[in-house]
Amino acid sequence: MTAATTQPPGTGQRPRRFRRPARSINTPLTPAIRWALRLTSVLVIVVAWEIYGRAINPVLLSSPSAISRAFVDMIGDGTLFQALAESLVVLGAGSLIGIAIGLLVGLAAGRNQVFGTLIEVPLNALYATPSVALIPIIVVWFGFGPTAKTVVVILFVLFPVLINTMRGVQEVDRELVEVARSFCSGERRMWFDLIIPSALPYMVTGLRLAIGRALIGVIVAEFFTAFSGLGHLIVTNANSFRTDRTFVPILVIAVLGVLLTALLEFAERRVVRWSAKD
Amino acid sequence: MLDATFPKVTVDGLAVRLTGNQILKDISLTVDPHEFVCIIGTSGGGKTTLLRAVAGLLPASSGCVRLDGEEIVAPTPRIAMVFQQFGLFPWKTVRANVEYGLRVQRRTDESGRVDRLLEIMNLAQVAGRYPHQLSGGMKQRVGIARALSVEPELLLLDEPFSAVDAITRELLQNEVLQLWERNTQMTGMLITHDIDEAILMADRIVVIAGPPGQVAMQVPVPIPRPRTPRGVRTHECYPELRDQLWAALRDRATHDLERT
Repeated sequence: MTAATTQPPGTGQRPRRFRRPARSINTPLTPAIRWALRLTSVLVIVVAWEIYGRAINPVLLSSPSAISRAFVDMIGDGTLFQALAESLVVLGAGSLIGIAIGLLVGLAAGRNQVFGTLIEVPLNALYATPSVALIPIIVVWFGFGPTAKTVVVILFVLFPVLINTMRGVQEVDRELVEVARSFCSGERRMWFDLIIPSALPYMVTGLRLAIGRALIGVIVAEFFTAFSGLGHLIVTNANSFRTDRTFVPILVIAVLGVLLTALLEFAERRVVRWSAKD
Repeated sequence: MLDATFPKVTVDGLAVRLTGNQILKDISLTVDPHEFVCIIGTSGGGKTTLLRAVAGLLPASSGCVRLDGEEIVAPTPRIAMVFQQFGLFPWKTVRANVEYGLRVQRRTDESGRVDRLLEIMNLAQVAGRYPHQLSGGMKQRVGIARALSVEPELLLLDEPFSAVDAITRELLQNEVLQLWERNTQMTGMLITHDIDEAILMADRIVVIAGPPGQVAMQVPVPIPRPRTPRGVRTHECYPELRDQLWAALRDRATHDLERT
């Protein structure tokens, strides 16, 4: 892009013997440049999409302008908010229940070796199974209503929280356990002074993984089961070849994912302040 | 009332086995009230194991440890320990770390002891900081203040100065020495592998040789208190004491070297 390589003819300059060292890859970019680059990438994508989307059949790709019109329409007729509310209720309830069970079982399994070993095999088997494979069974058990969707979300959320919490409890610093014992700490105090704080970073990691999986869980569950929610909105619009209206819930989900992840990263920074850099 | 000659700590034929290895073998020694005993030995000789057994953190496989004649089978609030790697809670502030012992023992700090200790140990300015923001020397000051806050009858120090740099070490030794000489209540046991540190701090030095750890030698340090590092080094019995200890440790160390 620069003129350095295209020397104008006839200037008579001797070629440089040594190349000037390139700007180091490791030099950190300034925040302003970072944001400019991020914005550029988004703009390039939107513009390219618009140009290409207009040129071909709207059923195949649609375009950002058509999608924004559909977005306004869907807000106007209330379908978007209704679907969003339905999905959020399931997402919230399922996540809360899944996180609660995951934390409790994880703490118990991390601290109690017998319990931990007891649940090890079924836990690993269930974690290794793609949770999506279980959805048809869940539908058989719980029907097509919101209960089934909630159960799917619980299942998606449970394992990352449980396994990370368990590991966090197991990785407690042995020397600090010794310190607590030497000061005659009881088991209950040991939990609050030592075990929970040292497992906390692991728990938050588990939560962050869980949030991503919860979003997947609710959408996939809505594909299969309930006649409601953002997932259902995607399927019905796609089936009637309204590609612009299909993209609206997809983009809403994308924004939701970004927001929830950012929220958890913020929480993570607050929670593990003690390990922050000097 | 206790007899003045009745020992504070009695280690009686103590043996400790850990996962089949004999770490300590038939250790017997006593520590008098308000005596400061340094236990010195080469690394791997079982010094730390001895201290952990005295703290009630390890069960004896035979023999026992008694505090005022009472057998120690579990940690007791009458004993406090200072750890080699500081053992601070990284999520607690300096003040919360110092308060820790009082809190787990459900005791209130009516006399403002925590504040006084923060002041004495030069920690008042950093009371709100977290351990990762402190230097090694400051961290160990927190560790010492935490142990002192519970007003222990017996203070155990497990190589407390080995993880800090040489200059800080000398400062800390001096601080602990002065604290010690002002306090008339406590009895102390300090683990070290530093001969000069042992002579500076101890009323009596016990040489542990191992493995398996056994008492190889006990020598009193007849240097009067209050002591200063310079005063100790220039005392008439310093050279002989040092040679004596060095010979005991060197024999053991060369023996180990030849064996391996």
